[in-house]
Amino acid sequence: MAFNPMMMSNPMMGSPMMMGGGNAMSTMFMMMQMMQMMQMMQMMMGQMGGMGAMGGGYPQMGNMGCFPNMGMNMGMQGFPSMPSMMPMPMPMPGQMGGSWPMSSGPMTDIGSIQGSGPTGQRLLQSIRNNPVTAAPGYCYRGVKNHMRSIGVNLTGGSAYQAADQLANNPRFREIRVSREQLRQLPAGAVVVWDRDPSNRGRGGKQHGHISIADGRGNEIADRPRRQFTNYGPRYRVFIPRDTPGAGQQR
Amino acid sequence: MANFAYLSEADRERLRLLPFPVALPRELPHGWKAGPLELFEDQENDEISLDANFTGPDSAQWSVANTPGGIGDTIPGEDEASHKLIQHPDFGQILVHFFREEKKAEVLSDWFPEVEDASAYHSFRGSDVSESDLKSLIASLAPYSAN
Repeated sequence: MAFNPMMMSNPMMGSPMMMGGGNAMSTMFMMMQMMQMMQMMQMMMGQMGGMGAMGGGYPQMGNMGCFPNMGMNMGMQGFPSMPSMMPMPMPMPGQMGGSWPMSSGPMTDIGSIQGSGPTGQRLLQSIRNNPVTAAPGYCYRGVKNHMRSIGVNLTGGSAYQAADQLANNPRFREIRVSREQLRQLPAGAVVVWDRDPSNRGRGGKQHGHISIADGRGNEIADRPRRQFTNYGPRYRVFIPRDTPGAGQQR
Repeated sequence: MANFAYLSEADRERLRLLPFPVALPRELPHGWKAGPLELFEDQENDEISLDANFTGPDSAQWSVANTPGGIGDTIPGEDEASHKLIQHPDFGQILVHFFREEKKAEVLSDWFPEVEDASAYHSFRGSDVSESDLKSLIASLAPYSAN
């Protein structure tokens, strides 16, 4: 079995990381410890706000989303509801261009996903049966209703709050795909875009956005539209676990 | 004109029973009338919202949405012609999107940024509202209070 140093527990929580010794194993522990310390430093920098280099040297991503003229600061900031230290895979600069820094999903070979499974089909059916066009800004209400049809109860007032719930839901698997691949997601995949707390008081992006993919490159939320690929700097993707090929990792 | 004088007794009773605070204009510009309060309630999904609707001169329409949750960002999309940040004394800087020329605005706001303890969110949308009426309506918005 491959040894993944990133899955080691947090040294701050009492792991055996502080072992000394001159053998190969201890050298490896030291290297792992250094990597985790680097991760911690990166996270701290992100929580201080606007550093734009969270999780592996992404450049500052300003002026993204749908208000290109607003000059919004899209700096990477910590996500308040996230646990402060989780094992996390190393980001892949250039590949992702926007997963949340704490995203724990494996990099997924989107080509291995063969259509949608039973859960995705049920979600699609719910969407067809209830093609409600809600008022703008009620995306989370629409998604909540469709998710309830498959027995998944999402809570909280704002769309971004769904991400942690889906990450912990046994019916869904978090995956990482590139922005370009968001339009190749199978029916039933859920995309959650993060809010931008740094923008508070300057209008916009306080609640994030959530949608369900229809399997044809469109998203369903408060209304159907072409799947966003550049709404903001951070997004997380969840697919039903019964999606054929969902377990294939790159 | 007293604050919220356009509300009927039945409206006030409805607002009193709501489990979340609402924002409403204290008063309406000349020629405007209050329409029905629209309550959306989906108890199974624990979703509730209240829209206050108003009509004005030349088929102008304006409504204020109030809800404790189920929301995401307001996304104007490619149809947006312009946007403005408008400072409001109670609700902070409200981002307003315009979809046609601003004198007869097809208008939509983001959820107001300053909300007390985040127990409810408010936004507005309208069509064919003159620029001066829009200014008056926004300036008049306030947390509703029965007193």
